[in-house]
Amino acid sequence: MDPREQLLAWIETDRDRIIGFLQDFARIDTSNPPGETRFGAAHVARFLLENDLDFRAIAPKQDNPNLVASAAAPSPSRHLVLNGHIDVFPIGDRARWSRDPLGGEIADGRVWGRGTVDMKAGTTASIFTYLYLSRLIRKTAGRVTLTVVSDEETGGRWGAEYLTEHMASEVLGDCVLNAEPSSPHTLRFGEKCMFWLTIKVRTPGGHGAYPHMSASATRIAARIIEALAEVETMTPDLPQHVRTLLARPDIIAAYDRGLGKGAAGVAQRVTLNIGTLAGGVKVNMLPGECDIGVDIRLPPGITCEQMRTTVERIAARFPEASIELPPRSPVDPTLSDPAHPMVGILQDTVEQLAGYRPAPVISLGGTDCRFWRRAGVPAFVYGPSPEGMGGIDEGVRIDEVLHILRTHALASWQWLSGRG
Amino acid sequence: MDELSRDVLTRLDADRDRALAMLRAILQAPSPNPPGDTRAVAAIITQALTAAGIEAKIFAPHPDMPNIVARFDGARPGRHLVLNGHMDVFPVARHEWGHDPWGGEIADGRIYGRGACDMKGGLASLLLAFLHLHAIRDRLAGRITFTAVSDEETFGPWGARWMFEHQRALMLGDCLLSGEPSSPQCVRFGEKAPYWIAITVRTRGGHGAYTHASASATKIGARIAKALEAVKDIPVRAPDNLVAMFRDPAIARQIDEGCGAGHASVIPEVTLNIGRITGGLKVNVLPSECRVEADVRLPIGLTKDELRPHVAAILADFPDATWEEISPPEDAPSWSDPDGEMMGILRRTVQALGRPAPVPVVTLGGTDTRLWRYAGVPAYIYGLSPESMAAADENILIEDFFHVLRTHTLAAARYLNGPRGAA
Repeated sequence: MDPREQLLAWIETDRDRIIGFLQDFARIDTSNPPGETRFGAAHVARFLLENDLDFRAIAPKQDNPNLVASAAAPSPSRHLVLNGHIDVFPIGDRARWSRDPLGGEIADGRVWGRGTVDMKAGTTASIFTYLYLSRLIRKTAGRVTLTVVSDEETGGRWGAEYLTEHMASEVLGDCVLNAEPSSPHTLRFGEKCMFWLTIKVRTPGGHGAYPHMSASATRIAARIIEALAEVETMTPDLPQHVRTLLARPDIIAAYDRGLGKGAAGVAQRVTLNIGTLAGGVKVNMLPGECDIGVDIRLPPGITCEQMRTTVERIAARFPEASIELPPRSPVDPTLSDPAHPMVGILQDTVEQLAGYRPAPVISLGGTDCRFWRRAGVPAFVYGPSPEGMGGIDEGVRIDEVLHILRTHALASWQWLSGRG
Repeated sequence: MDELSRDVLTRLDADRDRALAMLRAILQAPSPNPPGDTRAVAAIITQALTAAGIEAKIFAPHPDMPNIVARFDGARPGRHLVLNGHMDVFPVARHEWGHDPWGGEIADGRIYGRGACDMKGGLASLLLAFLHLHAIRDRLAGRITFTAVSDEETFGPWGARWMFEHQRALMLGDCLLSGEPSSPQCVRFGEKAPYWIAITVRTRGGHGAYTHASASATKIGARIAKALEAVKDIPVRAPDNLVAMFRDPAIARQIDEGCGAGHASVIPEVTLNIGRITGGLKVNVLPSECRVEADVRLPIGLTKDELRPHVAAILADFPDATWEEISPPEDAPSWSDPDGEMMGILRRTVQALGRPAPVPVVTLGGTDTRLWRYAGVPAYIYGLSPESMAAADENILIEDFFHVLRTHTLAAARYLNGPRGAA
C-alpha cells in the first residue's frame, strides 16, 4: 500500500483508540500551576511502552518529566522533531463550567475538558504521528524524534528549553512540527513573545475613611494600568516580506476566521493583558499594597530590551511603584521563513485533505517552538481551533483532532521522504 | 479646680505604673479582627473588674467575641453615664512593622502595638477611669456603666449591635463617653457613615495573548475604580451651622493639628477608598472576573438613598459589572449636639489640665457611638491621636495616654455630679 494511504488507513482503523487516548489524557489533572505532570507523562509513557517504542524520561525537575523518543532510517539525512506539551492551564472556577473539566466527556462532537484544545489534542496528534512514522521510518531517509514536555504553560525552562540546551544533538533536528492550537485555517511560522512583569505599588496605607492620610495603592494601580496602555501603540520593525504577507486580504481573513475578528492586527502589535490584580486587605482599610501581574506580548520586530525600557519609563511616573522582572529575560519574538518547504507541504496536505490552504501567520500566543527557532531550527505549528482555550468549557472538535493528525502524519512522511 | 477633681488627680498620679502596666497587658493580648477573637483582652478586663469587687456581666453570642458590661451606683441618685470601648483591633501586615505589633514596646516616650490608638489606649483609659471612680463612688451621684465590646472593626454583628438588639436596657444611659481616637485636641460629636459596595466584573475571559477575543475584567475593574472617583463631586446639603463651623479657619487648623492635615476639609466631603481590588488567576490568562470593593463615606447631609442613584449611574457605564451594597446595617451619618453638656465638660476639663480646649470634630470613620446616637443618647468621643491608626508601628505618646485618662476620669465625675447630681 502507498505509505500515504497506509497512514490514512491506520488513522481510520485507530479512530476510537486515538480519541480514547485523548479522553484519558483529559481526565488527568495536569494544571500548571501547580504543574504536577507526572501522571500525564505516565499516560504517554504507558502508550509508548504498549507500542514497543523506546523512550527516555528526562526530568531535571522531579514533578515535570519530559519524554524523548526517536526512530531513524540507517543513514538519516533529515531530522524532523515533533513537539507537544502535557501541562495545561489551571481550571479556575469549576462552578462556572457546565462540563466536568476533568471528565474527558464526549458530547456534541467534541471531547470536553481543561487542556483538550491547549494542547492535549495536539500532543495526542504528535504521539500518534510518531507511532505511525516509526513504522515507516525505514522507507524514508530520515529520523523522527518525539519530544513531550511538561512545563510549557510556565515558560519551558525545565522542558523544551532544557532539552534544546542540554540535548541539542538529539532534539534540535532540522525542522519542527508542533500541533498547538492554531486553527486548521492557519499555520504558524512565527510567534509573539511573552514579556511578563509584576508591578508592585507600596504606600503607607491606613484607614479607609482617611483618604487624605496616605496615597492609595489600589488607585495608583488603576492609574498605572491606564498608563500601560501606551505599550500597545509601539510599532514593530518587521521584515518587509513578512509585512507584505500579513497585509494580504486572504491572510487577514484567515486570521479573523481562525482566531476571531481583529486577530490579524493583534498579531502585529503589542498586546497588554493585566493577568492578575491584587490589592488591599479589607474594604475599609486604605490599601498599602497592590500588585499588578502584567502579560505583554511582543510581535516580532520589538525586542524585550525595548519593552523593558518603555515599561520602566512609564513606571517611573509613579514613585510608589517598582517593577519586578523575571530573573531571566524571555526569548525575543521568533520567526521562521514563511518560504520554508514545510509551509508548502502543510498547505498542500491540507488542501488535499480538506480543500483549503491554511494561511501562514504569526502566532499570538507563545509556544515552545521559540526555543528551536532561537537555535536556528525552523519550526511550524498546525493545530486545532483555539476557540475555548484557557476559558470555561474548553472542548476540542473530534473531526479537527483527526484532521490535525492526518495532516501531521502525511506532512511528516512527505518531508522525511525528501519530497518537498 | 474643685476638691474632688484634685483628689482624683492625686489618685491617678499615684497609680501611673499600674495604669501603664494595664495598657501594656491589653496591647500584648492579640485581638485582630478578622478573625475577631477578643477573649484574651476580655480576660484581662474581667479580672481587673473582679479584683475591684465589681461584677462583670459577659455576653458572648459568638463564643470568641465576648462583650462585657459592669456598673455601679453613686451615693445618691443622678444621671447615668455610659463608657464604651471595643476590644478588637485591625489586622496586622507583620512584615511592615518595625516593632512587635503585640509587644507593647516602649521607646522614646511612646508605646507601640496594634490598637494603641484604635482603641486599646482609650479602652484602658475608660477601664481605669471606671475603677478609680468606683473607689470614690461614695462621693458621686448617679450611675456609671462600663461597656467593652467586640466586633467593632468590621461593624460586625456580635458586638455593640448585638448588645443593642438583645440587652438594650443595659447599654442605654443619659450620655455616652467613648475613648475612640479623636486626638486630644478634638472632641468628636458626630461621624460620617460608611457606604460600601462590592462590584463584580465578569467577562468571557480566555488566553492572555488573545486580547481581541474578550474584554478584560481587570482592565474594566481598574476603569471602574477610576470612574468611582466622581462620587466626590456629588453635592451635599449639610446644616448651615455645621458647614460654618468647619469652614472656621481657627477650628480647621486645630482639627488638622490633632487629626492630621486635611481632616477638616474631608469632614464635609464624600470620600472614596478602593479598599480591595482582586482579579485574575494567572498572569497569562485573560481574566474573566475582577472584584472591586469601594468604601465611600457619607458626610453629614448626605444619605445613602441620595447617593445610590449616583453610584448606579456611574456603574451603568460598565455593562459587564454587577454590584451590591455591603455596608453595615447602620449607615446613616449621625451627630449629637456640638454644643451639648458633655462637650462643654470635656472642653473645660482639658483646659483645666493645661491643654488647649478641644474643638468639635466629626469622625471620618465609623464607631459604635452611632448606635447610642440612633437611640437618642448624646455620644461624644475623646481619645488619643489617630495619627498611626491602622498603620504599621501604631503607637501613642505615653503622656497623651495619661492625659486622656485624667480627662476621662474628671469629665465622668463632673458629669455625674453635674447640674442635677451635685450635692
